[in-house]
Amino acid sequence: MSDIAYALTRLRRRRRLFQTLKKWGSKLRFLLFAVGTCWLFILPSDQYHKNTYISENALLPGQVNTYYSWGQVHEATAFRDNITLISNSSNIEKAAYVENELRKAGLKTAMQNFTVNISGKEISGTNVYGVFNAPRADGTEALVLSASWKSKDGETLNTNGVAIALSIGKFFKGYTYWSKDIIILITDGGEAGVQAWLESYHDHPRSDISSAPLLLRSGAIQAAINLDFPSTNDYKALGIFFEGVNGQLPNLDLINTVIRVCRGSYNIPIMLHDSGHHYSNYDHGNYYDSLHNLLQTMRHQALCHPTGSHGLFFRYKIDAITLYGHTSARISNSFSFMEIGSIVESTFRSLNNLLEHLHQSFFFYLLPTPERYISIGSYLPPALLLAVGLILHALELWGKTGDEYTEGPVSENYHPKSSSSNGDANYIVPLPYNNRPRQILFPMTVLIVTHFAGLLIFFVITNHFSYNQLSKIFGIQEFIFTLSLTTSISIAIPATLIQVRSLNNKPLSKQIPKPASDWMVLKSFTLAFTAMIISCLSVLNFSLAVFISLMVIIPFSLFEPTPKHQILQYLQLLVLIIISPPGILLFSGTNIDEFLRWALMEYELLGSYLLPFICCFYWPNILVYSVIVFSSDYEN
Amino acid sequence: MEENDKIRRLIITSFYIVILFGLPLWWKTTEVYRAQLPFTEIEEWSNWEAFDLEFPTHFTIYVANVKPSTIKFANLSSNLENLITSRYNIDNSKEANNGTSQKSIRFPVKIKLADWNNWMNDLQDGNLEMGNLANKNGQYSFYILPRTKSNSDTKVLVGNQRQAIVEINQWDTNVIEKTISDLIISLFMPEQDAIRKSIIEPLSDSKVELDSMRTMKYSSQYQVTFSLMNGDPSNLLVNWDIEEAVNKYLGPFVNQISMISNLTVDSQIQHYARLTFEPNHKPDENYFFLTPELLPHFINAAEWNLASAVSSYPTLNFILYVPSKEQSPLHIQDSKGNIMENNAFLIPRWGGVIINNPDRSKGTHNFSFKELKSVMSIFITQLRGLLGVHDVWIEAKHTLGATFSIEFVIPPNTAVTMWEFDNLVRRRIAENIVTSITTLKSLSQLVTEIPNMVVLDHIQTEVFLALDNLSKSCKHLHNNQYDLALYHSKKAIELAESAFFDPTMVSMLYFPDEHKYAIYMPLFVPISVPLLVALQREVKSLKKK
Amino acid sequence: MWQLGRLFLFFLVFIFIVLKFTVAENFHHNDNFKESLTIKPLSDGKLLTHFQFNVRISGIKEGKTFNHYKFFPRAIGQIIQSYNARELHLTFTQGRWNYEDWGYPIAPSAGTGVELWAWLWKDEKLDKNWKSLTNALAGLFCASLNFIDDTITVQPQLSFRPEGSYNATEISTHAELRYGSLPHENVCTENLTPWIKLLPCKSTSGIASLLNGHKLYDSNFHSMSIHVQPVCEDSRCLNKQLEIIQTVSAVVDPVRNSGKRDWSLNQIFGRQLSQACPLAEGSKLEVILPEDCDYKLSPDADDVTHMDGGTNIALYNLKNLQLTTDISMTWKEDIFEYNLNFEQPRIYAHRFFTGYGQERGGIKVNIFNKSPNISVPIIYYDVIPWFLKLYLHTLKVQINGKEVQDNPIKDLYYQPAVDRSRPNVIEAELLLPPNSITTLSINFDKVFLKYTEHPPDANRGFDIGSAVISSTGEIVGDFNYLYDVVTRNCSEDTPRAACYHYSIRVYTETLLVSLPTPDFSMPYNVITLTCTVIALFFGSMFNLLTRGFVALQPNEDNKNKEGKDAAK
Repeated sequence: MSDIAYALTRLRRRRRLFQTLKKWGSKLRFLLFAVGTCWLFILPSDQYHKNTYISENALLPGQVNTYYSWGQVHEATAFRDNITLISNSSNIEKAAYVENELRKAGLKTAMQNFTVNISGKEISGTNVYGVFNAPRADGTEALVLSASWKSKDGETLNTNGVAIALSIGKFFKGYTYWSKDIIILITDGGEAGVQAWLESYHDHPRSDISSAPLLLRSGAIQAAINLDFPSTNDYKALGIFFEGVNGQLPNLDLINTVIRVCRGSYNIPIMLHDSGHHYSNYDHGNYYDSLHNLLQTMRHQALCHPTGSHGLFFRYKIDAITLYGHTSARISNSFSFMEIGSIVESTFRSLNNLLEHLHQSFFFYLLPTPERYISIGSYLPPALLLAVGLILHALELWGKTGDEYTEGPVSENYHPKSSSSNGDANYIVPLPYNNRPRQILFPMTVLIVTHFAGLLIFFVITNHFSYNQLSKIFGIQEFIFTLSLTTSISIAIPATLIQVRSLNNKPLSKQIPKPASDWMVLKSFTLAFTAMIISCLSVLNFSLAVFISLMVIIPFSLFEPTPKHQILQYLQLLVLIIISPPGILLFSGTNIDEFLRWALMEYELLGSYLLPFICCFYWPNILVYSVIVFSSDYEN
Repeated sequence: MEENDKIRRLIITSFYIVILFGLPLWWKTTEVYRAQLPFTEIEEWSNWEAFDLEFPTHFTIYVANVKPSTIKFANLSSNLENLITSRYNIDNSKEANNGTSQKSIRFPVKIKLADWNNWMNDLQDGNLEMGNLANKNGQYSFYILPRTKSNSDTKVLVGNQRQAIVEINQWDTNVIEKTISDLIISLFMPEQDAIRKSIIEPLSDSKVELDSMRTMKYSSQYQVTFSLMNGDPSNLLVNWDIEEAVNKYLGPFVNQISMISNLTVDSQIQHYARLTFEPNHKPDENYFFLTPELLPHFINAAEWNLASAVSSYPTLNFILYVPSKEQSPLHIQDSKGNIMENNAFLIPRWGGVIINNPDRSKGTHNFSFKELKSVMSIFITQLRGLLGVHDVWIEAKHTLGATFSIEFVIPPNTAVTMWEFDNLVRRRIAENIVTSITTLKSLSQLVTEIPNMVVLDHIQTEVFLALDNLSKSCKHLHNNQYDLALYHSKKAIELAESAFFDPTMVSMLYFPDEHKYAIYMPLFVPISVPLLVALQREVKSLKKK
Repeated sequence: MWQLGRLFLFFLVFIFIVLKFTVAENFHHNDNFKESLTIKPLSDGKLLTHFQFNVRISGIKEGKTFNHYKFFPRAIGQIIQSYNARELHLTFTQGRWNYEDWGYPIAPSAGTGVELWAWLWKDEKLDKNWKSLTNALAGLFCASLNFIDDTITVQPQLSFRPEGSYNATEISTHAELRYGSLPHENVCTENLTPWIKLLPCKSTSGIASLLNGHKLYDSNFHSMSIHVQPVCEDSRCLNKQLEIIQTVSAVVDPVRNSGKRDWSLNQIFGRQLSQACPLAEGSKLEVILPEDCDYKLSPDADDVTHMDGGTNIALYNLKNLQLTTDISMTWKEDIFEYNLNFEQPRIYAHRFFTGYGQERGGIKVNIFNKSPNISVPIIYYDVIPWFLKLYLHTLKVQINGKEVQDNPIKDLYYQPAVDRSRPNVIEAELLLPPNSITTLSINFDKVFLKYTEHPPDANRGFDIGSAVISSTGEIVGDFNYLYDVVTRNCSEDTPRAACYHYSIRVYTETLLVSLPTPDFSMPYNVITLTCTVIALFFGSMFNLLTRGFVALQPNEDNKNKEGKDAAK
């Protein structure tokens, strides 16, 4: 009989566990949430992050003496003047000018015309690029120095950028120490141009860009530097942009190299992105600067949006960053061609040293300041804590739906010894919890249907521009049409579900023991699902995960049907509407048409997964919750 | 309840069974493959237990029955045998007190007496081409006849084959015995000493014998390369009829020696072969000269393409050096400062060099077939030295002293007489046997010392074959078939070497055991814990019942 | 008048005969040695310098060994004979030959890296011979040729025909071809030094004295090669000679330093040309003159020959000319303008990888035929290592980007790879339509290599050797475009007709493929982690299997019954 005693003790233990969980569960969850959020705000603090360092020993940044000198500067100024002259002539002419210059410098050159018809408007342009075949090298590897005609704001001409690129291209030709080919790429039409070039360079059409195949190629591209130095004046600070599509990041070594070079040769103030504190030597700013930088990065990552045309290279396993000339910082001394040229040269010399593809350093990191980093090991825990809270809640609910505690007498006078000693025929067995049937049919249907609805919405939005005829018929703008369509879907589906449920939950009341009400099961499922999404996403795109969880956790864990007070229910619904995508858009006051165009473009051209994620994972859960809120509750 | 327990026990036992079978499997799959080597046999060989050599020699003594046949030669042979063996054994006993087992090497002597009177007259004028020439290695015949000319000392006429004519001045048994025994001893003693030494302390490099330093290490094949080095072609173009010369002059020697080890001959002409140093200049006679100190630096191995691209066999280089205009005429001076007339020198275990100063009046010079004769003769003597050919009779003459006058029949074109050849064969046999044994010994040591070394099957077979050949060659030595013995000793050494230098022996994947355990620890420990607990629980419950 | 003409004609014939005769005379000496340096200004201001040294040893019977060397390098001779090779071609190349700008190379230069191919006589240990051949050459040239193992060695079926004189039946029955290349082999001085030591005059006199490592390895492209091949002495090829051709081609860039394309020997090589090699039978320096004629050559050439095909060649005979001044060439221009229209060869090709990611990809080749009205038959030859799994069904041919009805692939030889033992081989005989771009494409999957199979620099990727496009035997139309090749390949005393089987080879770029790489920093950690996971799984399973389950039921009414139930 010892094993029975054993079983009993284990039973007891489990019960106690459950009770404690039930008692402390809510507090624990809150604690987790609080800790997670606080942790997030600890991240920028100075004690928390470490100094960056170069992992790839081959790079040796800033160890070479640079030869970019006034001769090249004069050439660059000449190029700049010519470019300003032809600034408002057609793309073809500009490209032809560049091609001519590069070819005169002795590079092999080619043009690429591309057109893409995306999100209503047609983008077309002409990329031009030149390849400098490194002497005596087998040309299996290449580095890219790219500059687009338009600066990142899309209006001002990237005059200096292109000028420098040209002068650099001509300048590099004169040396034999190159072990990798160098591609000078001048792109047109913003991100579409870069995407077009990359796709046809790798001969792998992804988006529906139609462009001529490239006949001039070089080896596998190892790294790319994108120059963005708008207009023609001098610059105060060097902005570094590094976030790519879907929050991908370049290898930290690349950023470190550029920063080391700037630090080493010239004292050029560096800033992450184009706002916030600009860091000069031995300056790590204060907490708020770091926080600001982190928030910037996280915003970009969460929007899955590249902060420059460098962001498109990542998909092809090419590390790239954008160097941006920042004019309006309040600094006395300024820099121009000379410094920029030297920085680019020195950086390329370092990259030229590479024996292998950049792989030593981090790919997942956050940069509070240019020279300090937070590795994934340090920033991941908060997100996971948040997810864990949800999981606990889900488990608790699951247990609750399954078990019905009858707080019966756990016999205190029960001693295994005595039982074993005098005949074990009769002794009081403590009352175990008893199971009751779980109704998972309805919750499942709800989940499936809502996610199907999400897919439907996604479909509707992606075909946004294909049915403007229809919208013509109704005589309304297409985006309103789409919006109405989606909203109607998002309203109709839950409503019907609720109705369906309320119709056939009569007979259930007879069952003994009566099952837990569906909303519990449904809620536990949804919570578990959300936790899963967040935890998975936090590894891929930390920022997005954090934002989502911060937005969702409180309402998701609090909301439940309150048939007693109607107002409360409608309040909850209101909150849900607010945190639903259209709600967010409305309340944040963004132009919905703009946003739709933008999101679609991101999705179709750059392949960002923001739109599909919102539609297929985020929105359906909201819908589920609207069902939960209005589902009948016969627990008490 | 009960059947539950039964099932549970079944489960546990099945787990244990799986593990019991699994562990040996794991062990087997993770061990390195090592074929078993015959360590004991090698051990026996290497400390002379399985090892007894004997180099028997048979002598047939033809005594002329000169009238009046006063003397009796009845017990001459027995006397001689006793005499010689005693003389041998003196040295043996000399060896005996430095502790090595005596049974290892023996040099039995058998002497047969034959009397004869026919074609004696022919013999007197020294033509030995008739007479029974069917002798094998180790069988020699002496023809003894009284000295006719009233000259005091004993005259020995050495034939090309394995025979010699001895003309004794006093026709008397003792004298004859003495003479013959002296002759035989002085002919064979050095060789036997050498053999004995090489066997008794095989690896002693301490012994500085000139010949052993000079002769190449044995190999079944040598690459012989003749190089014509031209200092400066810009004012003298040289060429030579080397092919013809090689065929004529060297061919017979190569054929003769090929039984021991065969030589592949080739030649080349190298231009702009500069010296690495400036030779001394003697302004008054206006010639350049090399002192003995300079000779070691003569070869410019970096510049002159002397290495062979393909053969792994040792190369013997013979260089005919034509100095450049600025450095000619070039001569070699000995330590006393007078010019050596043959202008040649030998580099031990490497080759030979001859410096030649042709006249550079007309811009080209062609070394004709005739001109090469002298050159080749020097080269051949050097080659003999390098291959370890001993001219036994000359050495014997030194030991015998002035009372003997030794003459030779015109030496054959093979440039090596049978006496010398046999001597070489015997030495090589001994050397090969010893080297192969030492090689095998060190192989076995290596394998025993490094437990992670892979030993494949073909190594094993090679070792076995080597041992087999060793014993064979010893056996053949016993019933003095020297040719077979040589053949087998060659096989033995080749096999031993190939086993020792086998590439698969080198490539051993070093993965020490502690690493293995360290890695498998996290697998074994957590698995073993529940198993053990379950076992112990079962045992307890069984105890209860 | 016409008699005079006749007389003249007669004289010509006479002279011709005499020449012919003397030439024939030369052959019957056993060895002879020629050296020549060819300099060609290229269209993009660069300068091609091509050293060539021919040594011939006559009276060679097939199978009969020769052991006495005069000029012929002994090392090579030994290798050839002891490994029973009929032909041997070894080329070290660094950099790419830029076909668009430079036209065809003078020597059939190889793709980047080391390329070795040999025709070996068939015997029982042919493969062993090949292995030891590579080893011997590796030792001779300090190159890592010994890495050419079975996974690299291939036997081309259509391309790489013998370059010496041969008759097809003999070759097909008695000899076999082996080919291996190492694309990522760096060529440097340690390879050049042994190469120079093979020359009769070393680098002490003759044009070889110009071979200066420092300058040579500062060039844009350089390739050094050794070709050993039997050639016919006479047109009927009754008795053969063995010829060794040693070449060094280097493309130097005067423009880089001075901005002008003027050159002089001293400037290019940093050395002076002292005298011809005294051993050489002929020693000449040729300058292939460019079309534009505003240049000046000093000192004046001994002779300017006008070749058919429009090129003029200025010739300096170094034998009888003692060089006082440095040979130099200057243009009347103060700065060199890159001309924007290149002399394009008829046929060239570019190869590249398609797709991205580490699990699959594709290879594409664009083969250009620029000849306006000739359709050229070629043989495309490509070796893909085994760790790229090709899918033959994805092999597509497009012409000018369009699928075509009549398949331009006339003949296809495809050898699928066997893991860790042999590579993929594609050999296709194509007919390139005039003025077209033919595109071959094929897709592959990438293999996940074993942990130990990765090289030390695993993240660099693996190099794929260049594909080779060789012209088939027959010459199509006018072959001006392969004029240089022909003249240089067969040294001038062989009858011209025998030269026509010399095939041009066009080499594409080498490629770099990146395979999925494990984390090399912590293999043991990975093993231990997996072990732990397995152990945990095992533990839980074991517990589940061996745990006793007891059913307990709650009911307050009677305890005995319940107790019994519990006991069950």
